[in-house]
Amino acid sequence: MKLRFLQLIASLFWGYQTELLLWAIPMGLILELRFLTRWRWELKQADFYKIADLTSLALLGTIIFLFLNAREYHFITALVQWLPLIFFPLVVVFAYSTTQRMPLDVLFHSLRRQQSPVSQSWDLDYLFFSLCLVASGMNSEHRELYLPIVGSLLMLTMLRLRSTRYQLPTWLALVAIIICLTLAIQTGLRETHLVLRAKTQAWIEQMVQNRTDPTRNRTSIGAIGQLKLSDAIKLRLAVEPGTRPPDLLVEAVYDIPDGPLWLTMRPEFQTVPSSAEFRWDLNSPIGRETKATFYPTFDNDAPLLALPWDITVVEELTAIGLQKSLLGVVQAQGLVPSPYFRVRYDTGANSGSLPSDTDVYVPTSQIDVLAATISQHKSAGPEPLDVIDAIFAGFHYSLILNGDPENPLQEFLTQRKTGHCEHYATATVLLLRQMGIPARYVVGYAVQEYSPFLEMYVVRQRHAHAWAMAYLDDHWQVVDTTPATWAANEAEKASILRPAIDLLANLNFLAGRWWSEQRIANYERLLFAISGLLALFLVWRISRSKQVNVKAPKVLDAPTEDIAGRESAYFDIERLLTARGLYRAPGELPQQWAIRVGHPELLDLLHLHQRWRFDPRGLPVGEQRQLRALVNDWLAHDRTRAANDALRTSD
Amino acid sequence: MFKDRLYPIYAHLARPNHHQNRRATDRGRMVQTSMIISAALGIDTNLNLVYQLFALLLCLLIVSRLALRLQPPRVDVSRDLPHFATAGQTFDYTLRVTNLGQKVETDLQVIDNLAIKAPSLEEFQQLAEPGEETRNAYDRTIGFHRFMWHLRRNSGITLLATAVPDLGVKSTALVSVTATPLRRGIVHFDNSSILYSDPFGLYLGLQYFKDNQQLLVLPRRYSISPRFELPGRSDATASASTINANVATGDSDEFVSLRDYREGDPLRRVHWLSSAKRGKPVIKEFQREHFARHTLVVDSALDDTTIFEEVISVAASLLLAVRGSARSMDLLLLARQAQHLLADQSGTSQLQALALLQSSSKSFNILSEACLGLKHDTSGYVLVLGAWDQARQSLLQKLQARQTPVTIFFVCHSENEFTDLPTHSYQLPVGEIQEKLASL
Repeated sequence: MKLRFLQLIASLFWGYQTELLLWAIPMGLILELRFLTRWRWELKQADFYKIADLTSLALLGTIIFLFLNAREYHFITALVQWLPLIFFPLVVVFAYSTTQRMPLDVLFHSLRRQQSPVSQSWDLDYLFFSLCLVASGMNSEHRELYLPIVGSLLMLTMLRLRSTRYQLPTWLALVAIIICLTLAIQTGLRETHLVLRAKTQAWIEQMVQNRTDPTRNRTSIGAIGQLKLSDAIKLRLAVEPGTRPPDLLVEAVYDIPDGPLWLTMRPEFQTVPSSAEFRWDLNSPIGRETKATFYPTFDNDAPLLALPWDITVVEELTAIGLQKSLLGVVQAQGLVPSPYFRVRYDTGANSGSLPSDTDVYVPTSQIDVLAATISQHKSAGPEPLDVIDAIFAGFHYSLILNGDPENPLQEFLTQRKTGHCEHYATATVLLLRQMGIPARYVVGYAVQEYSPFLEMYVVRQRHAHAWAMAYLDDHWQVVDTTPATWAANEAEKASILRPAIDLLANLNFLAGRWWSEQRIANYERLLFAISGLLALFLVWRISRSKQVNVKAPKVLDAPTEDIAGRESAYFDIERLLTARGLYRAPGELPQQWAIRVGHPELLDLLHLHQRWRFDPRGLPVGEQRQLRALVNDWLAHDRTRAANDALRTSD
Repeated sequence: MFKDRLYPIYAHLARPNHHQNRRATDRGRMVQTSMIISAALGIDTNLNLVYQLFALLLCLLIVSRLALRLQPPRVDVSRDLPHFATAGQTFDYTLRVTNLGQKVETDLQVIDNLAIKAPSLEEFQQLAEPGEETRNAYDRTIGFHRFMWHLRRNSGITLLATAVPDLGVKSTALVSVTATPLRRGIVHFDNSSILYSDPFGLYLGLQYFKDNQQLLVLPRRYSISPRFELPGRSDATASASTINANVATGDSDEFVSLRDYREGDPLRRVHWLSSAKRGKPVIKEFQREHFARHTLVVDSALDDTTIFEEVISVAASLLLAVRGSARSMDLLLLARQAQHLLADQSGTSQLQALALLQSSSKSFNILSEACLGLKHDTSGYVLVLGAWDQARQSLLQKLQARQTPVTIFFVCHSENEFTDLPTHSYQLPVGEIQEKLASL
């Protein structure tokens, strides 16, 4: 009766918390029913092994099931929530068997062949009870309900197992202390976690240098040294056969230059309404859309998405929401890492908002340099882009940074004429603005490497690029003035181990993609068939076992026959001594007992008492009265002595 | 190996004064495990509520632990040990628990603690637990079970905690403890402990009662077939060559005949009636009693521990088999030097010597020389050997040259381990020894 009702309640609470109530009700009732029946299965060790093996198979099946279900990212959460269900067959078999505890070799195959006997064993009832308590907490719902219910269940269990050394009030006082401490600790844990989480997040964001901030971007203009660019693959991109991939992927757009920084005055994001599950329509298509599948790597749950400038639709992106800034930057919210998402883009679509005054802002310190540069190349053509082309005609690409801290832009335009994409993009934006054309500074990635092995495009960290967007002919156009040799220039710096590292990364990627493409729907029939077969096998195994009727031990009836001398007054003294903890030891004679507990004066009374009980002639009525009187005297005397003792103690 | 690196940790934990004042119960271990699991699962308080369970279990464990100080029992424990026990044979002894306090003591357990001696690194590396190869790879790698087996083997006995009945005020309970000695030799009892539960039954508090005692565990013994005959004759009409080897222990009450008085005959043997008839002293003659005297040679110059232990067991079994028969058996063994132990009435001193005998690194030749140099004659030799090399073969040849009957028991790992075995020899493969001895 150890967990009677408690297991049922724990099971129901687990079902309620995990929305598996339809399973939990029959499970709890089946376990409860055993207290009403005496039928048990007499199973052998081999039977337990087989049933445990089936449970292990069920556990394995569940793990595969959860892995196959690509949308189930909280794998551990789901697995723990299902554990009571998975282990239930084993629990119920033990509950209805004549064996009380499960030796560990039943569950662990590796212990079965060992020669030394397995001494450790588990009580499956308590294990199931604990599993229910843990599993019901794998949910953030009913935050206020969890602790009171789990605490009550646990304390009721403990109450039944309470040591007889302690009085109930002591035990209750300790429980009250535990409750107070628990409330304090759990509140502290929660608060600490929230604070730590906020601080850690801020710290990580600070530490991750290559994460793009939608509101500010620090360029390397004016810095000294050499840019070190990583070969690591940022994303993979597959397009439909016969279509071209987007040349550039926009991650962030800025409009205000501030020394080596680019900032934006319009950092606000607006939520994009979802048009279907995991689908967002960002721009209206004008012509024929091109489809592409992105296989990105994300390092946080709210990343900026590197997308084509002419994006129309993002779909199959497992995020809670999507938001877009006025400058056309797209950010995911509550992103669940998933292996891929799909996009559509159309060259006619346009992401950015209409130009504003900030798009033509030029810092006064740069106006002279820019004006002089433009005037030198004014003759190149009537179109502003012709002038721009002419300005950068003799420029070279280099990742070596030895700029002039005072005015790196002037140094770049007039003397060095060598720089990397941030130099070209910054100069281009400012030159365009100087010519009265709205322009913005854009960072993102260039799509330029095709992997025949993967049959898709590969974008690495070192493909990160910066360029200008100019508002010409009523729409934003890419103006990329960085010499076309930049990609080849940077590729030369790749590590010689890169092909090997790429191969491993690509194999890993392919395996992950295959895994992610598996759908539970494809295996449903197989899983049901296997589960059915397993269940049938279990039923067959158990039904073959012998059933026994476990009888409760008979409670011996109290002796009904009248014992001689039952009414002897001496029994009052024996009861008093026993109540004081002065037990009579097994096999100890009453006389020995009286002497041991320090009352040799009882021997005379005992003599009369034993005559009454064991003398075939009995005890004459007069002596019975005498015994009663002696006993009463002794009891009165004893009360006085106890009172005196108490008085002395208090003094 | 990995387990060798773990050895210092094991040895540290097993150091003799590493007494704890508490111990987790099964239930306590379950709560501890649940707490660790809930700590791991509940690390993100946004994701789930298991951190609340963690807080609850943590407080439960802390309060349980502290509550052990609430009502420590006031008792005393003493122990009544038997003088001897036999390896492998379960026996009972008594612990006497007395309540010294003013309240009834309930829910107590008592256990005896043995002196702990950790194995040396060499022993730990070289001596594997029997059946270790059947353990799983993890257990074999970390070697924890091997270390625990060494500890059990060194301490020499298995004991379990036993429940104490409710103890009335100033009363004493006798608790019968069942123990099984694992090996022969001396078992050191270090102290006894009283275990008392906390209010939630998660921890057991421990109180120690110093009580150093020793128990001598005699070797494991096998039963030997009653049909088995020792070498040499044992009756009173022994031949001239063997009569001297029989020990004349005196005359029995069995009357045989009358004969003429010879000088030196005691006066109390004079048959006065016949003497009066014949006119010269006539003496009553009774049946003379002799015990055949054998020598049991125990081969202790052995490296193989398993074989050595079985040699001891077989020797002890043979000593026991002759007890109460018309034979006596002297014992010759090799400890620091060769020792010759004469038979006594009970054979206990010889069994004690066997119980304490350690494998000797000295040469078998010392034992051979002692055997050949024995001053008295013997009816026959019984050799219990664990090897069959030149030295042992030479001893046999010399004994046979004296025309002394010799019976040899070879303890071996397998039936065909030794070749060219002499007649009157028995092979006793380890694992089949009982079977072989019972069918001699």
